[in-house]
Amino acid sequence: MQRWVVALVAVLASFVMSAGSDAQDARPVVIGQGFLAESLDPANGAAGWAWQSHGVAETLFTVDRQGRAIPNLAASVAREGDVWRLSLKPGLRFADGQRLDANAVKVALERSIATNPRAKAQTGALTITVLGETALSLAPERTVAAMDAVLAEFPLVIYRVDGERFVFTGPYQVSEYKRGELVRLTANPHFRGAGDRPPVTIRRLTDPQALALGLESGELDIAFNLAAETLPRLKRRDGLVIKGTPVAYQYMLLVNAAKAPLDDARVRRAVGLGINRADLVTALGAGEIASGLYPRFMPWALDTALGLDVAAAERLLDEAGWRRLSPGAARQRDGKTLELTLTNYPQRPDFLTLTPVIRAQLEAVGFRVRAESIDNITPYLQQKRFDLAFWTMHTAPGGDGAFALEQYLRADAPLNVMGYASAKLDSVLDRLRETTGFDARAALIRDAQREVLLDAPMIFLITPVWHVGLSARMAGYEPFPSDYYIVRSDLTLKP
Amino acid sequence: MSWAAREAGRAVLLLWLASLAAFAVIRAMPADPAVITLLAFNQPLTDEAVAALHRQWGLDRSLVEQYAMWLVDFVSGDWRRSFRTGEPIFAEFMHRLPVSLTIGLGGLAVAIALAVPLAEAASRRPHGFCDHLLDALTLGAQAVPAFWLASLLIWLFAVEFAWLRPFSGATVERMILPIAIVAITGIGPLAAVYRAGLSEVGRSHYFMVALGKGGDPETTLARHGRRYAAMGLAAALTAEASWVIGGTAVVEIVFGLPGISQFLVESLAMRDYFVVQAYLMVAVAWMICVAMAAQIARHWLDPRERVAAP
Repeated sequence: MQRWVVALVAVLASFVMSAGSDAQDARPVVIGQGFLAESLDPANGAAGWAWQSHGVAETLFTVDRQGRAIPNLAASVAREGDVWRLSLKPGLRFADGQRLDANAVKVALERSIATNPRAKAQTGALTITVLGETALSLAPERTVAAMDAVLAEFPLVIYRVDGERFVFTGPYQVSEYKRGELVRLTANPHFRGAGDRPPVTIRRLTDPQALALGLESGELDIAFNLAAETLPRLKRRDGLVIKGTPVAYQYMLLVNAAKAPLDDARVRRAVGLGINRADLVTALGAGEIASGLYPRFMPWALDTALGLDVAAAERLLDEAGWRRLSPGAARQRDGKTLELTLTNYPQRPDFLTLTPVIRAQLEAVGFRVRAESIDNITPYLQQKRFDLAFWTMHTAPGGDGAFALEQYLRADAPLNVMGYASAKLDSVLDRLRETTGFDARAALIRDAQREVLLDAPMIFLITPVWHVGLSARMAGYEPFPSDYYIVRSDLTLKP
Repeated sequence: MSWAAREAGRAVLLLWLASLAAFAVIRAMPADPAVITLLAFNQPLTDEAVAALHRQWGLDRSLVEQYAMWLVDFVSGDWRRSFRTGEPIFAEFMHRLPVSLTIGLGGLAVAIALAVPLAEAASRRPHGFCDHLLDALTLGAQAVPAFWLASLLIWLFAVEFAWLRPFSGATVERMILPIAIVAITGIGPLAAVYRAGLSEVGRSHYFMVALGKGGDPETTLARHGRRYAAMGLAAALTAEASWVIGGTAVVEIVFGLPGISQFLVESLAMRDYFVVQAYLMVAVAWMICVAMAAQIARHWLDPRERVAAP
């Protein structure tokens, strides 16, 4: 009798436990992150980007972990004279089962271009002609050298308008949307491997402490982009896994090359040589020393990490006529002190941490540095009132390195707030505009970076590392090196 | 002219002045929203892209035209679309206002419910426990930042005791801590005002006379002091309630609640002109409503107001 009771209890217990574990697995994966799609319409604002990051929307090309554009919904794109011929992968479907053919692509792109000015920022007007079921021709108003990177940009996500509904092609589809609060997602049944994909809830939490607490309380399975100060506490807690990944948002200093004393390239180079980037990594608790404009995981990045060379910095300043009159004093020339202002902005707390470190390092080579914090940094930079200003950007959002060079470093670039002009660099960029092969473009981008390192209108600091906190059941999740693809097709509960 | 018509006229004038001020202040802020938008999402910053966004948002017209067109649209119920989200602003406000009002007014209601008995207990026993607690709460409201208090409460109730799920629970469960934080910061100041009213009555000649007639101190104070102290409380509440729309940003951000205050903070950073203008109009309208409610409350609580009224 006793045996029967024990056996019965064991069976019941195993049933309860397995039911519990089923319930655990059936529970959606809850992600806490700082942003959420602000609109269901991907042509509104940056909603296309958010839906892409949420795993709902896709573009014709996407960006791989090395930061290069690769085919996604498209099979290929090739230049044929003034137009580009685009081929789609066969057999694609939207989440509602409707076929994704060339005509659907044309309708989606034309709607986005007509309603969202950002959609044609790279191409100007875009004439799209359907050539067949899976073939289109694209005729951009402006010369485009890397159409794959343009088609990987979020304003050009592919979707179908069905009444008031927007239907996408990504691994997930929206089951509930509460603006500003959460999105609930279920697997798109027409995307390969739908059965392995757990439901997902994305909650918007912009406060870094709240993200950490949500992870600790077990309410979140994935806490995206944790603040550095929360990491030691989270790492000590059982059952949590913290993973870091370098991201494509390079940290740098913009240098006002049009204003003394930084109008002298020797002084600018001395600034770069006088910074010990290893100390910056230590101050932030994570990061990788930069080698140039691009993070080192990108295929067009330079290989050698930028190093500290105080002797070379001092030599350059001596050559430029800035001399120390006494040990430890700021350098002077013609009675003027070598003074700089180092500007940060509070929206990037990392820069507030780095400011005193860089200030001390530059003062050690003979600069006198004043630090300032500017709340609204963009107009301040555009008015060219700065000397050295912290900055960060995604250097290749569409998977092509030309983006940052064209935006910031060409003599007439829209964001060339540094007042920098180099005929040599511009000629490299001119060649880049005409070059289509990936390897040839990567080589030119590296050449361009070497020019920039010589002239130092930007001082590259570090590639930041973002941290993702994971519950035990999401321990197998591997963060992507940006916030463009947080929910992906490989999101599963398997370790 | 009746009181209602006079107040309505004053409210319309105030709203019109507020619309002018809102328009002028937001346009005087440095930075172009088109530039900020393109930069924020790593989009090419070309002259054509900036001009196209200006055209789409109507910023290519003269300031006078922009103001006049916006005012006409606003009054007729079209509050325009947000630069940032592309969604209609009126619908966004209708979606978010209830969240902010629930947190703000819910917190104030709880604060009043606790402040009144606390102040009465404190006035009964000066320098007693309740008196010191009231002082501590008043000081704490000034000294303890709301974000710190929020983090502490989440850590206690969600992480250590696992009693609440402030991020993923049902709506009611998610609202408990935000309302508690507004209440905790409100109890001290409200109770202090109420206690001051009771103390004033306690020192008054008519209270002494009532005691001299053999009245019990507690009953007498309750009978003669509460109404007077409530008038002070109503004045303090007017000030607190005026900031309900916009004043709950910290709790909304920490708890990830889609209220109007969080939306405003993000819109300001992106120079989302129409959102900020609409917010200022709504905030002024709310303050007018609160002031009117306070006037009615005063009228009801204070017999002298009724006598003085024409």
